[in-house]
Amino acid sequence: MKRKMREGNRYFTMLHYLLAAVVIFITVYPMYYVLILSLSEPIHAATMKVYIWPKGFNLSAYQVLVSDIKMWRAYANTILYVIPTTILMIVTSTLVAYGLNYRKLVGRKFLTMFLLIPMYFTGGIIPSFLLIVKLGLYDNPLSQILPASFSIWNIILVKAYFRTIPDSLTEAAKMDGAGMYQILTKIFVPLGKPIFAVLAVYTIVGTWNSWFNAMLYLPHTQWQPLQMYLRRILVETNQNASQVMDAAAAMEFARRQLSNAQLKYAMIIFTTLPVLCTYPFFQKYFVKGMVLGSLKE
Amino acid sequence: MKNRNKGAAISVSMAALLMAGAISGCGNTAGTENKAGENSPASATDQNEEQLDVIKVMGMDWSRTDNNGKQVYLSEWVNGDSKLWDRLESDLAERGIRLEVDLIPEDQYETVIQTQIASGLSCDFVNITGVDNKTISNLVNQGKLLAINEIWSQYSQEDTKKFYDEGIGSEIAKLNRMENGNVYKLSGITVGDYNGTQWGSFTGGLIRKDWLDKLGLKKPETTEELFEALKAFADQDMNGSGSPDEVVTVDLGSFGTGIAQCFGLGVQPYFIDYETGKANSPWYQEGIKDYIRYMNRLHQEGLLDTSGQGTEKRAENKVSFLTEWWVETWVEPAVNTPEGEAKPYFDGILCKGLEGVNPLISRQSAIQKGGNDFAVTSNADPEAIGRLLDYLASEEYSVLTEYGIEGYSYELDEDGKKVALDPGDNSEVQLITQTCALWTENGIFPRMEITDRAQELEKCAEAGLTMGYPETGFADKAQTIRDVYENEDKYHYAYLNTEAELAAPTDEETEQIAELQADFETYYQELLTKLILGQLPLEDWDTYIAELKDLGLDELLEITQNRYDRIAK
Amino acid sequence: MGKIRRQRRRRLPRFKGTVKENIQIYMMMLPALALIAVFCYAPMYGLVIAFQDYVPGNPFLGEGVKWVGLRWFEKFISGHYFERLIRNTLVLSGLNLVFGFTMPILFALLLDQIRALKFKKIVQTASYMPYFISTVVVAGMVISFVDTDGLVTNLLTVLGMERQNYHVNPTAFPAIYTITNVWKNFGFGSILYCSIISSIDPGLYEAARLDGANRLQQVLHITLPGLQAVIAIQLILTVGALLAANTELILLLYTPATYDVADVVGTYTYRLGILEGQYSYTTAAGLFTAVIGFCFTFAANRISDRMTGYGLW
Repeated sequence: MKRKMREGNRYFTMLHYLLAAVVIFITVYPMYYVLILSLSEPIHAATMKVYIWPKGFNLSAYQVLVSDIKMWRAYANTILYVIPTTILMIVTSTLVAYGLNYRKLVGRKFLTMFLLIPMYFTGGIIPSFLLIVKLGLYDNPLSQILPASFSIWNIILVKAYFRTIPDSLTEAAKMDGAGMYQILTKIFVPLGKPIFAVLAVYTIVGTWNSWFNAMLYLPHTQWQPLQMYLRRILVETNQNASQVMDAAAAMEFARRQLSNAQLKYAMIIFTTLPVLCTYPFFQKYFVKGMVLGSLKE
Repeated sequence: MKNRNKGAAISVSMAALLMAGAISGCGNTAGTENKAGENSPASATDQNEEQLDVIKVMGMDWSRTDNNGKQVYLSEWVNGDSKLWDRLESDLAERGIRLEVDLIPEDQYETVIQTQIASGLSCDFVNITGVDNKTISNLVNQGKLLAINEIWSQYSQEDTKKFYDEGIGSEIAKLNRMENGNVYKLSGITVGDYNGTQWGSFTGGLIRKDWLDKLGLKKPETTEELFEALKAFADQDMNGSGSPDEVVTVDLGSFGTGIAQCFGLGVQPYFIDYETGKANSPWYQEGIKDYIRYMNRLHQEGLLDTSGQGTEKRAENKVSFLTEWWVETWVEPAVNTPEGEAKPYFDGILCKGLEGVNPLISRQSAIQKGGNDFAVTSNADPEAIGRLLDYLASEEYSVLTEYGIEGYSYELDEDGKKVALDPGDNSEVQLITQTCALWTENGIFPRMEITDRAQELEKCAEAGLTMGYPETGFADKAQTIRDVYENEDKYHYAYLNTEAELAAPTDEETEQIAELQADFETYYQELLTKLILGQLPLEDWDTYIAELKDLGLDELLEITQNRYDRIAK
Repeated sequence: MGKIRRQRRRRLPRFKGTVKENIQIYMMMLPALALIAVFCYAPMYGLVIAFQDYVPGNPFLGEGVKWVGLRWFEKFISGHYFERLIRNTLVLSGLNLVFGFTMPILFALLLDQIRALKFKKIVQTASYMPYFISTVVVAGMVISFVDTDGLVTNLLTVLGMERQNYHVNPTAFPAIYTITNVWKNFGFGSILYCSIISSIDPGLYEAARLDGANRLQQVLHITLPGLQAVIAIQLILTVGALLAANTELILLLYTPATYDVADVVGTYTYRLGILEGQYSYTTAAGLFTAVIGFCFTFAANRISDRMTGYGLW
């Protein structure tokens, strides 16, 4: 009986591993596909029919990228935006979530509505633009940080997480004479590490991938983030070819398509790797028992 | 104080190239002194800076790919040491103008211009390409744009006035004239000249001539022969891929497929008939059902690409037929042919699809309005803009923009024709000998293009020499086009771009178009695609037509007709 | 709740404390609330253009505004394609609700079962790679994979299906869209669940094991209840977004041949926008879907609150 169970368990485990292996394959392959395209001769890359090994071997796209000062500038800008945005995001989400979690909060109903409405209703591009201009943030790198330094969705998430922290802990701290601020720093912050790690990953990735605010608020390349640089290569080669183009434009279109065929894939590899590498750093916060350990500290 | 042009007019040797009639307006540009100090235009500019009127210009940071595959931006010219840009600046300085240029990346421009219009434009001269008619009309009503015709008649020189009132410029001005009779947009102009006759360029179907030759087939003259040829390409596996994947790549949801024109269909869903000047729609034309049946047959045989990935298919050497400019030589290099083999050879083709119906060539107008528009805002000093217009209408500008600087990017041969110099590794010379300077097209100033079509054909033929046809080059491709230039009466035509042939819409028309266009376009593109793919039966034809009418086909035709009549008068 | 209130009444000094605490709390929340007020609420007046005939350069209020009442809403609702747009939006988002929402949870549970830590980390990192590949490139890959001679088509042909270009096949579109969407997002979406699972007290599992619970029972009785709060919230938000399908991906994947099943509110307004800058009309369409989304959220929240005790607030 016992043996049978163990055997069943073993099949179960094998099934898990098999599934996981399939997952690895279907998720890694596309990235690998992009990688081999980025290494193939441009003319082969343009066909997109490179499946197993690079066709030809050509590093010129990487050479172009590495030697492009604009690209490095964009890289630096992105990093410049990622760090403060992530810190601010964690701070704002935690503070509001903590407040909402306080049971005797006056005006909670009002606050909830206050948070919920902007999730569905936005004033649109033009009023936002006018606001940014009025605040003096147009063409200013702060326009990439401030509007992205909070997220209502994240607030709700952190709040839901905080709710799982037993009241008994808070009560006990209060008995010991801790104020609201101490309760936050002594109990909620250490216990909230996993959710902060999630916020950090989400924000880093979100900021890393964001371009829309830059398109709206940064009309010059000087302060633009990496994604604008990438988009320029991707979108320009993807313009609607059916629109009426004059001969010069058609010719330029064709030339660019060929010269970018390899470049865009190299660019994806180049822009993605660093942020992929940040993930393992946060992974340690997702390990079981981590939270308990932090409380004992 | 203002340094108006007071120098002696230089005689312009360019005149040989220009057509007598319409162009005479800008023939003898009054103008520019050849000062001794011209060798160092930069320093001259610095000295005069105090006295120059500043014009703030906003436009796209237009870029083009040079021969090394590097994308070169206008901002690099402006901020770096570009001889061409320096010349532009010094030319303008002579007219008492200094530019302050704000360049916005191309992909952002549409957003930036719209948001800046909402918050109030701060520049004087602005690229308004892509801004919708309603917004323009609104800006006009609010007095935020200046009437350009008033500027040129008040502040510009006689030659400039002539250019815009009678010369080439007038052709475009009349297209841009708005309801109140004023002109608020400057557009690019392309004038083609084939040995003294004005000619536009053509688009249409192109077929793999090298494959025809390999199979010993003659160039198809009917769509039936075309079908056989396309089928043979696939059956004989011309690209050697091991499967019959040689396909036609055209936009199925559009009428500009080159094949539709074989059946006498117009290029747009509502168009102006080239010969009668009457608005019509392919949906009402005789050949429409035959066209759909024909395309459906191609699809049934697997000869029609439906993936919409024409670019990839081209690169894979799978395309047997495509739609492009007939004079193109830029598709071939991007095709991946086996090592050592020649690149493809695409040759323009026009077949007869239906007895009694003339196949059409889609052509540009002889004086073609370009796709880019520029406007003058109410911040501007009209007097200074008047001088800017003097420059933009001048031959000097056109030559600098299209050919560059004599001795630097071109030289004159014994006939007085401009011949491009070998650009070597000089990227800006590469760009200008390819097409034109970066400040035009999508940049900051309208293009004033004068193309020698004969020379264009020579270049087209020559391009083939390095693509695996060392003996003939693309001679036949050029010949296909030359035949049209030389036998205009032998062929029938359709307007390539109907919109560019129509007067600016009135506010009411704009409103109506906005009301109808989206649903109509959704419906007809879907309908056409599904009919071709056989997802909808042809039997229900009357229902479709009724639906099209219901969605406003007739109203759109009427608007098109009215707009056309306004300028045709 | 009731218990707390009673307590408060009994001990008056406590109440004094809550005023002070409330002030402290609000001081902490203030910066973030101010940011929300400025960046979310200040521009919200822009919604009025849904009731105007707005053109950029016009004022939003005051003189010169052309009010048109509900004209745009009427136009949208009585439009030729209204029903189809709503139907497609609901179907595509519904599919996303069924698969896109559940896959990250299932995947997180699967990961939780993997004991080999290194392998687990590799799987997890791998799983969110697709999230980083630009949608433009993903769409290009998908289209070429399902083309007549594409990888996927070849595979399906081997499995006995007809060789065709699935890209223009209306019946295949929902599947292509959903699979692409799920595949691109499930790994990234699972991060949240993984982190919550990690915060579940290991003591609970220990106790369950001692009670003889097998793995499945542990998942059902410990892991899932632990995730309940977050799942409820995610579900509520997903339901609220039922009218907001992934416009960007659809735009890149659809063709006129598949409009029938693929054209959604977002893509339709996109086409409107590029033809003629119809700000008012597109704002009205956006407002319409926002109101419905808002109502959905409310309803879902109430249901969830009743059934699980978890809600957004």
